[in-house]
Amino acid sequence: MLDQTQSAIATDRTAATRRVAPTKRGNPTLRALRAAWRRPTFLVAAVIIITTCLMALVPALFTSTDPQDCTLSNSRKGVSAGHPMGYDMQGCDYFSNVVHGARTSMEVGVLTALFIFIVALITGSLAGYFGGIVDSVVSRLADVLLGMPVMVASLVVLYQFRERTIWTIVFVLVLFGWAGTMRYMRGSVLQVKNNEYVQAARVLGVSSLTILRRHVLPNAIMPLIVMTTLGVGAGMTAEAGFAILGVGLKLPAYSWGLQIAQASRDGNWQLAPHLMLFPALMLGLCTLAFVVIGETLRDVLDVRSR
Amino acid sequence: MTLPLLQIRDLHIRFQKDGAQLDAISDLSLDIERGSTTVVLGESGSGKSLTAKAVMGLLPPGAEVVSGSVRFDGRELVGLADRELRRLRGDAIAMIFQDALTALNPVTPIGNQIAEVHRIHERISKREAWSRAVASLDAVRIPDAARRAKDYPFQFSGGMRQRAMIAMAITRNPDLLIADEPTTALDVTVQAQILELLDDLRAERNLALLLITHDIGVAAQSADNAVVMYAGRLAERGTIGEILDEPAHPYTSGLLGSVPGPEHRGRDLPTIQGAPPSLDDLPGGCAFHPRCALATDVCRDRLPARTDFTTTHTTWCHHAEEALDGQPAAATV
Amino acid sequence: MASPLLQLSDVHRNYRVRSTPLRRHSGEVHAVNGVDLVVRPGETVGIVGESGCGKSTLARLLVGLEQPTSGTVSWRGDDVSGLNRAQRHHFHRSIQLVFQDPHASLNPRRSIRDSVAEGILTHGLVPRNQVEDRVTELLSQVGLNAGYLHRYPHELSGGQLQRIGIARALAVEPQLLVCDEPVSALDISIQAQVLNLLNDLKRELDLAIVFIAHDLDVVQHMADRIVTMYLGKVVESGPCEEVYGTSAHPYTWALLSATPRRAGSDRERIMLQGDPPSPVELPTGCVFHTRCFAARAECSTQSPALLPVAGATEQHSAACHFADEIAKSSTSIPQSA
Repeated sequence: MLDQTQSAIATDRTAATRRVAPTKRGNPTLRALRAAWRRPTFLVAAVIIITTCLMALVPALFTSTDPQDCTLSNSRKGVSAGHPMGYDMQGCDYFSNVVHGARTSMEVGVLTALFIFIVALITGSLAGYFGGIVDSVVSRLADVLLGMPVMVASLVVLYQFRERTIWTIVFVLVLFGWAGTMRYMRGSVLQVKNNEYVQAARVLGVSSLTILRRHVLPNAIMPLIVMTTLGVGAGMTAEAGFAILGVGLKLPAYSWGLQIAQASRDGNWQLAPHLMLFPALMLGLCTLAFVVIGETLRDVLDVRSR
Repeated sequence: MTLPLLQIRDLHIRFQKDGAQLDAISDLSLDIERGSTTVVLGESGSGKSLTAKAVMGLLPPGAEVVSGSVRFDGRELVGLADRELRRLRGDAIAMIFQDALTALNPVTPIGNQIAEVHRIHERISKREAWSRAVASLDAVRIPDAARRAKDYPFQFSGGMRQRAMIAMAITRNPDLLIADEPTTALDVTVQAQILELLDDLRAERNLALLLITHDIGVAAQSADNAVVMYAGRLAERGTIGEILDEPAHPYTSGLLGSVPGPEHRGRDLPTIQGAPPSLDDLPGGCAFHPRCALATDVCRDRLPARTDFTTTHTTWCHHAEEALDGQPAAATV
Repeated sequence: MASPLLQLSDVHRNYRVRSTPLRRHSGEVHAVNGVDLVVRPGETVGIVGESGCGKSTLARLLVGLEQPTSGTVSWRGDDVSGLNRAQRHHFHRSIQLVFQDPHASLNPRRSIRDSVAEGILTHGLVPRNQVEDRVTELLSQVGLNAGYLHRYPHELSGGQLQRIGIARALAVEPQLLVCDEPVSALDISIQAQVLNLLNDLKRELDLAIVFIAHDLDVVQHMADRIVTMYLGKVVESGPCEEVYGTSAHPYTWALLSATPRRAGSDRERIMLQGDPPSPVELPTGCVFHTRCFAARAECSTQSPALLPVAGATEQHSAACHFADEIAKSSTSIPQSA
């Protein structure tokens, strides 16, 4: 039973010293992120998202074909050499179209999630932390929005715009989407603010805003980050939904939503299933990737497990 | 001499955690007689709660019995099929917990919950089960039991809920009642009532009571026999008198010494230095040696063998004789 | 006798509660119900009582986490409500709190250094470049070395975290430390270490301590004076030896009898029935009469005042109609310790 190293360490008799296994050391947030990287599903999802981001930023990396270089005689032709996704109705290279569509879809998803994050962070933390009138106003407003049939309301608002850009879409999605996320954030803040370390800071005389910034937000923001990640996928899906309903972007813009909308029109997809398959596949993969990342973050960011 | 009701021999329980194997309980042997109260004393991580769960066959996921035996009324429980264990649980062996509020179902009346226990184990009518439930509530001295049986847990005060949980445990007339920190969450005046109740039930029904606690006062007041656990092993066992008056393990005497009493007024309390080790980082040799004032090289290298002082009093310490003589043995920081 | 550091006079703290399907009562909770309390420099006042007796609310009132509904709090003779902003800031700094649960009382995402330094930085107590030295000094005062500076709470044991919690409180140089059940979440072998530490700090820094606990042995070890609370009221107060030796209130006597001891006591053992009543529907008359073994008719109608006990030192007082009788029969044969 003689173990030299162990007994050598064990002779350390500092009062109240407990040795801690090295894996447990360090900043809890960084530890959580490191844990996420070790999960294979997280890596796969990250690769999908990084690839799509590259498509959105530098489409030339993926295709040198101009999406508007079309030959009508190639209309709806299937997959062939050099054209991995075939041709669309106008006889343009579909792969190039799908690659160029990534930008719009990503923009709508990311911008929507980002703005919802900002609005929910501010309103949710103020409402949760200060309560009172601020809370009443914010929460009642959210109740009204959450009580509305979101799809119908969005349609009504979108119809008011003659020209619809991605900003129009983002505006409508944020307008009807922030309330749910705000509630989440508010609940999280309410929970954190009752912690003893928050009271300890109050007893020390730390000001309210500093407590909010230093103690409440860092511990309350994790659910919001998870929601935001999931929200990117939801924004991308919503963009496609609007396009199919005819209240989204209009041609000649490129977006996966528009491509799905075109494919679903006049039974096109029955004649040429690839028109539906490829943009839907990309959209599905991206949404799924964001969901996976969101769920992984939800798992690992719960640092309170000791 | 007849066999003890519960006989644990060389029990070894291992935990899987993050790929590592941790010895949660090692070489645990323990006898419990009918009609007696045995206290398991220990701090967090000492394995005292796990011992109870092992007897109940309710080990948490990742924990398994590697070797050893648990004999209850002559019957081996280790390796017994789940079905058989379920038949024993709540019938011949029952358990009560620290927090009655989470142990009771909040949406079912107390009486129904107790009646349910009977109907799990026996084919009897609902009416019969109900009347037994009321009788049990009466036995734990809940006033107006027939009416209170229809109440929900939240309508009971803290002490009453604890009584209701005890009623549920004793309703099948078990031979062994395991109480895991049954009074830790209670106020002292209520704790005194519950301890008295448990002792009365033990005497009336010839129950064997296995009481798990960290509170030396509770142990002193309730126990016939006591075992002291440290880092998953027995440190010492004996009658409660032997443990309290002639502790022969430095850990036991250290624990006893660090409870404040009138003799310490105006002075520093004797302390055990350091903190209990965590299971994934157990010191070699005797696990207590880094905190022990009597520790020598042999303590770092070898597990202590048992030393028997009387037929009941046993300790596991290389310096048992010294510890017995030189009290308090634990170092003062 | 030294002039009081902190004095509470007839302090009340009520909460409104609404009735919900799971809570039958509605109305006002009288968490703290007319408490008088004096804390003098350098002394330890122990507060004992069961859950719901208002001892935790009292702790929160003392450190300014709650404001009294009525009554006055004076600091060194000045009514706190009359202080200006800067004075109030200083007053709050002078009273610090040590929490019960060491795991919950430290921000899991901040390093030990940041947690302990927070008060120092907030009040600008030392120049920025000396903060780290000051934190190291505070850690050594509570028995931890500088190696803990950049650790996080999840890496430490309960006893170590409680030391950090104490260091954080000491960082703003308080004169009064309120300890709310500071050792009840710790292992027994660790409790004694923390109690010794508190006593050492009290001597070194000339601290006054308000020590709140349900464990009467622990309070007896720590306190110079004891205050027993029941349902938001002080029912007995006095020097530690007197209250423990000659309880003048039946509730204190019952608490002492109920505390499980290694050695049996030689005085008569009192067993209370039932749980404490809800602080929403306070009993009329003496709040304790519903559980009191010595209650008579007048106890349910007349509320007893907190009065000096006959034959005791003037500091020993009890709120019981029959305090003198109780004191006579509760007296134990002096232990030859």
